[in-house]
Amino acid sequence: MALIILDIILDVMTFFFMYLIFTSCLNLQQGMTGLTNLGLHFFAAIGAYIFAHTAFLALRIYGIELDYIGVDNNEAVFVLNKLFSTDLLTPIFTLFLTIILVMMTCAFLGYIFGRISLRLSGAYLGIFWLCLADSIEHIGMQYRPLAGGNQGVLLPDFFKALNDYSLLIQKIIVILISIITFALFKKISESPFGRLLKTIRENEIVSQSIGKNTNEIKVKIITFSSIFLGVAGVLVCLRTRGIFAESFNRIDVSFWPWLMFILGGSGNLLGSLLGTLICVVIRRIVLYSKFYLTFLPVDIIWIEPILLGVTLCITLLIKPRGILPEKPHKLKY
Amino acid sequence: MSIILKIEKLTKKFGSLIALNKVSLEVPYGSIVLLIGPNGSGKTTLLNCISGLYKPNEGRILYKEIDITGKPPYEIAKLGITKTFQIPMNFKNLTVNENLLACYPNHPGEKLLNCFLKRKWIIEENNAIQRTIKVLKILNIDEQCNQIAHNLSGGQLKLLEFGKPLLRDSELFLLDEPVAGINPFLAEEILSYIQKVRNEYRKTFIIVEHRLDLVLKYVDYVYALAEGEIVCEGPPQEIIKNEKLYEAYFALK
Repeated sequence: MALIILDIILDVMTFFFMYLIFTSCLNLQQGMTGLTNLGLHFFAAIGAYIFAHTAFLALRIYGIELDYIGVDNNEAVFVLNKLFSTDLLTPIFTLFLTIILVMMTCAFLGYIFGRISLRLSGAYLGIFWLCLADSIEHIGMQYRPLAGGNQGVLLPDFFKALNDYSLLIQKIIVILISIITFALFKKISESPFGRLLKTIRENEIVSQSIGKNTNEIKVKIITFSSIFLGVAGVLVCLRTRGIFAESFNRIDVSFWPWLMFILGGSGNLLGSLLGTLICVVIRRIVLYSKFYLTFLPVDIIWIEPILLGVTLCITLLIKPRGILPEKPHKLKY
Repeated sequence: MSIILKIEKLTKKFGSLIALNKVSLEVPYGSIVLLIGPNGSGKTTLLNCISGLYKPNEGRILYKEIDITGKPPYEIAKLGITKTFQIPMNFKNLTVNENLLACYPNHPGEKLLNCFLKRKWIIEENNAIQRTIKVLKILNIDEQCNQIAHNLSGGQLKLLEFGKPLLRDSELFLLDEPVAGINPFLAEEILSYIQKVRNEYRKTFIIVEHRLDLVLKYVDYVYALAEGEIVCEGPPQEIIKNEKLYEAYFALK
């Protein structure tokens, strides 16, 4: 029983820390800088698609030719699991390379699309990112060589050599990366740079008139946060042990983080943390008790989306600034 | 250099509307120049062209002999020109002190990489705070320093607006109706302070103002605009006797 409870707690924690990366990025973009982004799943998907290929780098290292994305995916996973059961270095190197490649690619794409989107603001900017993200999701679902299409790509167990501790190590990696992300974003929010971002959010024209190059700063923020969103995409795949393009959809990867961000408190990183915790716990409770909810008049697979919509509406009506709204910065003199 | 700002045949159009029509003027160093004229004569448009908020269609703007025509606002602000707005535009959800701290120039903490290393910016932040407190005390709104700007009165917002170029230590101040909506005693105090800053620090001011009864005794030179053109100019004692000024205000031809 204790082991089951521990497993549940670890599962909730992993889920929480994974979503914390998304809500932290959203807080930086929307909460602090006023850059509306409804397409967080764009960079997460890019990270996942890159991982779909770099994950099987070991096959090349070992000189094995297999169509790891297509018909030979199962065999490729079997072969790599066997190899990784006695080799820890190669999979760690693969993961390390993946992270570096994802960071560089997402930074580059963040810079390009950040520049392109400069002329947009508000809802139009949000829709721009949403359309971009939905497009990449559908391309991933249709174009098999990218990420296995509708069937997806199964991944090997990178920590097979650690036997029973493999899953635990994967969860620890997710938690560590999330904590690092949160700590970095907290530093930003408490610095003069964070204050500068808020001036752009409040009034971009006045910010320009006091000497701030707001366009350059906005591109920097999009580029910076895109790195972490891409890495979050890799972590999602590591956790699910597979890459499925449809899992990087607007509901799971964009709209739920938006609810967490609004519920917790826009512009307040601790608010984002609280909102994430509340929503993750509720979602996990729904997941574990789904089969006891059959008395409801809707199919159980629709409970979560309905919960998302209802909670968002209630939050916007009753507490639009969230549970922990942004606090004014007070001088002590 | 005796001229800090030179404008040559500046023209600004909004579609078929000519807001500024070949306007030329010069502003000497350390002077207080007043722009007057009826509503819609192009005064604010002129300030917006100088500060980079509008791009002129024709003409040139030379600041310290550097052509700044059409440069973006942030570049012009970095050169030492700061503009205040007719209707105060502040960062409403930030506190009064944050509104001013954001104006502090060349802050190392405003670089993305530096914000992870507090020791790189904490000294400058403390300097910025000291300067902010000094400016707030000068403006007499230091007690409101931790209030959200949104909660300030109209007059206090005007004072906060004036605090920005002070904190930036600009060389050329473009003040758009700095004493509008302020009680006469406070208005006199602000105008006296403008003169003091000019005398002690040799700063230059271009002021747009309607309240001639208050402002004329503080300025050195006046340009009167009407329908986008300069109709007359001169020292304040002469300008008020100029018939063209009254023709412009009362639309007499």
